[in-house]
This record gives sequence, structure tokens and C-alpha cells, in this order.
Amino acid sequence: MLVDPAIVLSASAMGIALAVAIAFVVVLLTALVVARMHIVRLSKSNEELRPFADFIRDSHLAVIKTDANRRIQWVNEAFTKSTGFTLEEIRGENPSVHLQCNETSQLTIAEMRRALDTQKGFHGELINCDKNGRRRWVELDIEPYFSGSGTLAGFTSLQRDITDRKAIEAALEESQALFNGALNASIVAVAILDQSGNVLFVNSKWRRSLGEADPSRKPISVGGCYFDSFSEAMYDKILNGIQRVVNGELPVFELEYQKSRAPTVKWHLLRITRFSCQDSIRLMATHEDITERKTAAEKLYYKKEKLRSVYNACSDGILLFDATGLFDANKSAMAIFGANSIHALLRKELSDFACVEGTTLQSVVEQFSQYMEQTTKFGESRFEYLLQDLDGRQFPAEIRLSTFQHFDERVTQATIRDNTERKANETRLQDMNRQLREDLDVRMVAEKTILETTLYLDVYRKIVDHHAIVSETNVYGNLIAVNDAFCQVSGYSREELIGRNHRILSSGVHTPEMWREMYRSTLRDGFWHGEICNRAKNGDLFWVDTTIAPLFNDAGELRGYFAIRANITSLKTAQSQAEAASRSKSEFLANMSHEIRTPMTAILGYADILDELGSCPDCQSSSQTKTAVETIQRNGEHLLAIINDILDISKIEADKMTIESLEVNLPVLMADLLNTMQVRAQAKGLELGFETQPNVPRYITTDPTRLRQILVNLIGNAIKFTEFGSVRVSARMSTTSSRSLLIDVIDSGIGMTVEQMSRLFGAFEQADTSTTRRFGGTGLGLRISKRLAEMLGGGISVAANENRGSAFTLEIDIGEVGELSRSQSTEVAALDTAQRVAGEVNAVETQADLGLLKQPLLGMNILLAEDGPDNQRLLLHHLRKAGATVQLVQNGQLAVEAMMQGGDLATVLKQSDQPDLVLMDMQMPIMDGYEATRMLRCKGVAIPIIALTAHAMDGDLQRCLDAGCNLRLTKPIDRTALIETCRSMRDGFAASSVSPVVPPTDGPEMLVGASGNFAVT
Amino acid sequence: MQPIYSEFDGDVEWQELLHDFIDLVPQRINSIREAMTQLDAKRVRTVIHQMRGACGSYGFHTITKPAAALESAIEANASLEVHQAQIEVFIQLLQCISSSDKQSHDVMPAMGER
Repeated sequence: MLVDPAIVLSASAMGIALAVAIAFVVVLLTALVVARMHIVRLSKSNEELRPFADFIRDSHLAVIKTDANRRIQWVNEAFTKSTGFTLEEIRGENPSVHLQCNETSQLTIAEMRRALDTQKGFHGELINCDKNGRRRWVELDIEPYFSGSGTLAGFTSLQRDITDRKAIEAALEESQALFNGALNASIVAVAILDQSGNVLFVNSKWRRSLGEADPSRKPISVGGCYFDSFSEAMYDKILNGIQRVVNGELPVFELEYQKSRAPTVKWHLLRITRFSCQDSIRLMATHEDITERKTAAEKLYYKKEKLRSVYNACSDGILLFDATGLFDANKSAMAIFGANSIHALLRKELSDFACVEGTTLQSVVEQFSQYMEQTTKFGESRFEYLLQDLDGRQFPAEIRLSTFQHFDERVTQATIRDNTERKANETRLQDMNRQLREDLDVRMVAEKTILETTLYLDVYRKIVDHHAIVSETNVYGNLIAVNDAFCQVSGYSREELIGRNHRILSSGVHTPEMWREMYRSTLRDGFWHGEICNRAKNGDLFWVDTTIAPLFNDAGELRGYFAIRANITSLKTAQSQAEAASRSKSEFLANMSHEIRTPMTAILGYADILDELGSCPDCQSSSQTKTAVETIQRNGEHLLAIINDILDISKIEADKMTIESLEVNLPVLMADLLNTMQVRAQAKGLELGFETQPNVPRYITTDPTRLRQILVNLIGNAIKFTEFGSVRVSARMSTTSSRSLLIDVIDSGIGMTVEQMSRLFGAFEQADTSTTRRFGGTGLGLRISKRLAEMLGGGISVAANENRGSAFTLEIDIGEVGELSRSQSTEVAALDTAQRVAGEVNAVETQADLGLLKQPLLGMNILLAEDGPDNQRLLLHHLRKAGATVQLVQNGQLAVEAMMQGGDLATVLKQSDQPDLVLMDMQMPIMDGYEATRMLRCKGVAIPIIALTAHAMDGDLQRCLDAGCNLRLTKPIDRTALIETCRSMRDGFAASSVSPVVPPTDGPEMLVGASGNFAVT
Repeated sequence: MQPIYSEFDGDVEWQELLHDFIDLVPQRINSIREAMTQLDAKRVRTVIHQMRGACGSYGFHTITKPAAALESAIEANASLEVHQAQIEVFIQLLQCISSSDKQSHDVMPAMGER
């Protein structure tokens, strides 16, 4: 056996190695024998195998040889070296006993065992421990070997220590993790690319942001192409940049770009750098969201610009000094010091600007360094100093010094204010102050006066507001202010009034001329005073005593009107009432004079006749005497009645009337009364009836004289105003009081309007003043009756309908009455009172209709003066149809001319074809009816003249009568009334034509016997 | 608007009178209009006064009251502008004046023209 001398290191080692080698070779030889090798070949092989044996023995790989039971038979030196175990120590042992430890992977061991058990080889890595317990990573190669007969002979195991490699691997893994972790932790999106732009790696930020940033674009991830994530616009730019980086022209390519994602715009910074990895060029692309930084930078820039602008706009000069002197100044500073550019000022010290006149430079510098010290100590100092500019102009300046730290530098800021102007202003100001103080004194006095005036005005205003209705309008009369009283009287709220024209209150009572005059005199005289009728919101009229004055502004222009008013509505009402009362009294006096004079005339006249009869026995005639005496008696009685009335009313008005309280037999009293009245009723052809209800007591307690007086008056009136039909008297008990007796007097006469009823009980009133003429009487009767009824504990009420009759109800207190005194009904109230009235009125009309002949006006000549064509036709139609001959004229003047055709009246009277009657419309053009009637009467025309007027002209009745008309017919024209009136006038006139009424102006005294529709309005 | 008939409508005795009256209503309306354009308040009032009386007499009582109101309004204030609306309403009212037999009479020629 040959031993390589180079391997021999020591004798012992060599020995061992040799032994091992020999053993190994022996084994190998045995194996070879077993493997049926030839001896020759064996020896030859032996020679060939020796280098392997040597290699194995000397290998740095640990080698173990075991038998089939895996018991160690041999290990090499490298094994001992790496594990610390010698062959002797472990021979016959299973290698795992010594080499495995806790850290050894049991999984690997199990795998290994499974392989060895099936006589297969095993390759793996696992942790073993050496003799000292040190853990070692080994790479294991185990191969079985077989005997010549093919049975398992044992295993050989090669172990390589890979602990160092494992350590490097671990370090590499850690480094990789660190790298990944770092990149993934980065807030910057990172991608590693190859030079073609293929993405090799992306960090998690990339995945999160870039991939999702634009959902429309596919996320670029590992394996994708980097350029795909860009729009075409950016593509070229980036490609170019990357190429330049790859070529080494640029160390880094940077690009800022915008990424819009509503509603915000994001700014990103793309950076591409290059690095080498082994032989390849790698690129790192980072994308960073720099929006905030951008915004901050923009803000900072803006702030800086703003500051710079403020800095320059500041009117004070600002100078900045550092250790090297002045390094900046604002525009004002340059202007103050007369510098064209900053360069003229650079590096100067503040003291360089001080005026040295009258002192030394040394002291100036000292003084300024003192200021600087102060500034450093307190952070700020202020002082005034005389400075001079670059041209030597001196000026007083106010200087403010302050310091601040700018990085390492201490910067002093000097703020300079040129006080030249201020100084001058101060002097001026002092002068002005003095002047002002003087003015102030004057003003104080004025203000005091104003204050007092204001207080006065306040009081005036308060008084006026409280006392009067106040308003203010603009020039157009639109209200701009009103007080509470104004709102109250007008009924409007302030909101409704303000802004509205004053005409909102217009009543329509005043003419436009009145308003014009009001404004004219307001402006001419400075005020207007008068009475105005206004209309409140609810339509009521109210009168205000008004003073209006114009308001002018300080330029003397008309600004509006101010008005105060006092409500004089009640005053006005009272005034008109007083006037009415006064009128009423006058009318009464006139009536009385007439009423008294008429019977007196008759009395005196017939007394004369008696006297004459007495002195002329020849002409004595008993019938004449009788007539005269009767006339005197009748007129005397009439006169007495009038005087009684006057005395009664005087007594009542003076509270001198006394009332008796006696037990009265009511049926007896009524029977007696009706007996008396029946005569008058029968004289007019009227039916007079009395009925009483069963519960009316026979005996009542009252004043019989007064009760009788009242009933005589009521029944007498009923008879007087009724031409046809009946007068009914009925007694009944009140349903509300057992002490009240009601006596109704119901007629079918001319009735009254509501308005007439309201005036009925007034003193000296008849329903119409004209009725006095028609019906005579003082007009006091009802007044007296009413007052008497009140004295008897009741009153008189009236219900009436014009042309439909009246119903007067007398109510009196009859005292407490026992059951026994209740009378038994003597007559039964068969018909309802109202029915009765209605029925009787109908009866009247029927009677009137029956009374009309087919041509009742046959042979009658009528002059019709009427201008309205419609009425002309209507009247002509009716009159002609009734048989009359009608001559039509268009106006009053033509009427007069028509009547005077024959010249004087005497001639007229003789002419047979002259009209019997004139129908005169009162409202006509050229000459109206009044005028025409007056003229006709003046000329002695005595034929009846019937006035035609409209309803509304109520007040005109008297005018018609005064003008000389006999009576009036109202329009609309009622045919029946027209015909009947004409007929009755003709008959009446014919009857009285023996003594024509002369002079006619004395008033028409004609009583008409027909139920004409004549004036009772 | 509904036609306004006379109280005497249908009365043979009134027939001719009513027809004559109704025929002349347009003429009256023209008079009012004419007076309006000439701002002749007095004339307007006179015509209205006449219409008031006539309408009542011919049995068109519906007209009487508005006419009276209008008449006194014009009397109180002669400025026609103020009453213009009222007058127009009144004219419309006048145009409603009619008679039941007059209507059918008017329709006949129209049918004949067909």
C-alpha cells in the first residue's frame, strides 16, 4: 500500500489513518469478493480504489460507516474534528444517540428512518450537536451498501457542516425581510423595475394607492409593465426620463404631476433612480403624494408675498440689520432716506443715518449702542432722533427698535417714521384745539337749547297725540305716520294705513274743488283749517275739525303735510239735532198760529154775522142764526181742543201732569168711548169695532180720564187717516205680565214708512208736515198719548206699512187683579189681526178698481209738461186711454206759454178748450216745474196742478206745495193712482170752483177724497 | 246676465208701450255714452234720472234703485271718472231690459234669413 507522503503529518495520526484505510480497504475488498470479483481484477481494483479511500479518510467531510443495523463501524478524522467524538467513543453506537438533540427536526429524523428502513438512501439537512453540546447544521448524505450476495451490508454517511452557510442564509432572509418591511412600511409607493420597465417588485403602498388610484386603469403589479399606468401625455416624458437615467445621463429623474380625483386635486412626485443588481440595471420608481407639501408651499409663498407686500406697503420705513449691517429695507425706508435702490443703503449702520450736527460722531455711536443694549434687554425700544437722508435732509424721526432671531443671526429691526409733517400737524392741531374749545362752549349752549326745545316738543307731541287725531303724509298725500287716535277713529290698523293715500278715508261728501282749495290755501297761508267729513273702515261717516300744515325740509322743499284733527261727529250730530229741533219748534209755532187763527177767524166772522143778524130783524133767519152758532160752537170746541193739547203737553213737559188711580169698569168705558167715536167713523163710512179677549179683567185700576184721552186720540187718528175700510179696537192681556193690558187700534188707512214711524212720537211732529195741511191737528196728540201711556205704566208702540194701514198698541199697567174680575168675552176674535188688516186693504183696492169707469177722464183737458220721452209716451197712453184730451209740452216754459195762449187770465178762464188740469214734471230743462207752477199761479191760473216727482225727492214735497201745486204724484207712475187722482181733482175742483182759491200762493188747502197715491213720503 | 222683464210683461194692454220703450233703450244708452265722452256730467245725470223714472213707470223696478244711487252719486261728485265703473254696470243692466214676447219676435227674421 502506498501512502501519499504529503498526507503524512504525524506518526500516530498516520497509524490511525492507515489502520482505518486498511480496514476500509479490507471491507471494500471483502465487498468486492462478495461481489464476485476476480482476484486479478481485485488487485487491480485495489490499486484503483486506493485514492478514493485516501480521499475519504482525509476528506474534510465527516464520514460514518455503519453496519446494517446502523451501528457505527468507522468514522473519519473530519468527523472527530467536527463532532468531538473519536471512533473509540462511539463505535457500535447508533449515530443518532450522540448526535441528535432537542433542536433536531423530528420530522427530518422520521423521514430519514423511513428511507433507511426501506434500504434507501437519504439526503437532508438537520441540526446536530457535538460532544460539547454545540448545535451544528449539517447536510447529510446516507447511502446503503450491499454485500456480494446483495444483502444490506451497512450505510455510509457523509456529513458536511453547513452551520456557516445557514447563518448567512438566515442573515440574508432577515435582510430581505427588513428590505421588504422597510419598503412596505414606506408611505411612498415604490416599484422596482428592470430597464425595460417590467415591474419586479412593488411595495404595499403601491398596491394600495397606485393600483386603486384610478379604477379605470388596470393596476400595475409585479409582472406588469410600468408604463401602462400612465396616460399617453405622460408616457413620453417618463420614457425619456427613464432612458436618461438608464444611460447614466441623469442620476435621478423627477416629475411632479397632478392626479384629479373629484373633488380634490392631488399632487404626486415621481422619482426614478437606478441601481445595479449583479450585472443588471435596476430602477426604483417612487410615487409620493406631495399635495400637502405643495399646498403648504403655496401657502407659505402666499404668506411670504403678503408679508412682503405689507412690508412694502407700510408707510413707516423698516430697516433690517444683522451683524454685517443693513441687509434689507422696505420701499418706505428707501423713500425716507432718498435711496434709489437698496444698494445705496446696504451694510450701513443705523447710527450712520443720525444727524451729527451739534454733537460728535463718537457720542452718536455711543448713544445708539445704548439704544441697542436697551433693545436687547427689553426686546424693544422707542425714541425720537434727528436723522438725515442720503442727500443730507434732516428730519425728526420716531424710531422703534426690536430684535428677533433668524436662525443663527440676531436681526435688529428699526422702524422709522418721518415726523416732519406730524410735528407741523401738532402745532396746527394745538391751534385747532383751542379754536375747538371755544366753539365747543358755543355749541354747549346751543345743545342745551336744542335739548330744551326737544323736551318741549316731546311734551307738545304727547299732548297733541293724546288730544287729537294726528297724521303725517308725504307730498302725494300718502300716509307715513298716524297716531293711535287716528287708527281708532278710522277703524283701520296702522299697518293698513301706512303707505296708503289719505283718500282711503274719503267720504265723497266734499267736492274736488274743496280739496283743491284746501291744498292751495295750505301752501299759500302755511296752514288750512276746516271741517272734513271722512269715512271710517266700517263705512260710518265721521266729521273732523282739521288743521293741516305743510312740512318743508331744510332745503325749503315741500316734504309732506302734517295734520291734526278733532272728532266733531257728535258735535255735528248734536248740531243737526238741535237745528232739527229748532226747525220743529218753528214749524209747530207756525202750525199753531195757523190752527188757532183758522177757528178764531171763523168764530169772529160768524160772530159778526150774528151781530149783523141781530141788528137787522128783517133779515133774521133762524136757520142762518143756527148755522152761525153751530159754526162758532164747532170752531170754539176745536180751538179748545187745541188749547187743551197745548196745555197738556206743556204740563207734561213741565212734569205737572198728575195721574189718578181708580177702579174702572173697562167694558163700560170702552162702550161709552166707542159710542162717541162711532159718530165720526160713520161720518166717513168706516166700520168701527171693538172686541176683547176672555182673559181681560172687567175691572182694572188706572186713570180713566187719561186712558180715555189716549184712546180718543188713537181711534180719532185712525179714523182721520183712513178713507176706506175699518178701524178695529181690541183688548188683550200681555203674555209677559199679568198686570199689562194691551189695546190695539188697527186701521186700513194710509199707513207710514219706517222713517215716519221713528219720528212719530216727537214733539210737534206729524208723519209729514204736509199731513198737517191735509188732516189738520196740532201734531201733539200722539206725543201726549205716548207720555200719558208711560205715566199709566206702559207705552205705545206702532206697526205700519205705507198704504197698508197702521196698528197702534197701547199698553197700560192695570194693577193687581183678582180672578173674579176677569171678564167674559163679549166678542170673539175671529180673525187674526194681521189678516184682518191685509183683507181690508185688499177690499179697499178692489173697491177702488170697481170705482173706475172705463173712461173715467172722458171729456177732460189735461196739459202734460214732461221732458222724458218714455214717460211722455206712458202718460199719454194712460190718460188718452182713460178718455182725456192731452196736450203735451216739453218743458215748463212751454207749459206757461200754452196756458197763456189766450193772453190774460180772464180770457184764459173763458176759453172752454183750456186745460182742466196740469200734470207738471218738476224736473225739466229750460224751465223746471217749480218755476212754471209759480209763474202760472202768479198769473192767476187756479186750475189744479199736480206735481210729478221722483221718489228720492222727498224733501221736495213742501217745495211743490210752496210753488203752488195742489198735490204730488210720485214716479214711478201708477196708472190707477194717476187716473183716480186726475178724476178726483176734476170733481173736487168742480165742487169748489164756486170760490176759486185766491190768492193761490197761500197754499193748497184742498182735501182729496180719493185714495190717491199722493205724497206721504 | 238674465233678462229683466217688466211687471206688466205679458199684459196685452202694455205690449205696445213696452215694445216701444225697449226699442228705445239702446238710444238711451248711446246718449249716456255720448255724454260720457263729452264729460257732460249734467247730461249723464239727466238721462239716468229719466231712465230711473221711466223704468219704474214701465214696471222695470229692478232698475230704479241702482239708477237712484247712481244719480245721487253723480250729484254728489260730478267727476265722471269716479263713476265710470258704476255707469258701465248700469248700462249692462239697461241692456238686460227685455220682454218675453219681444224676444221671440226678434228671433223670427234671423231664422228666415237662413
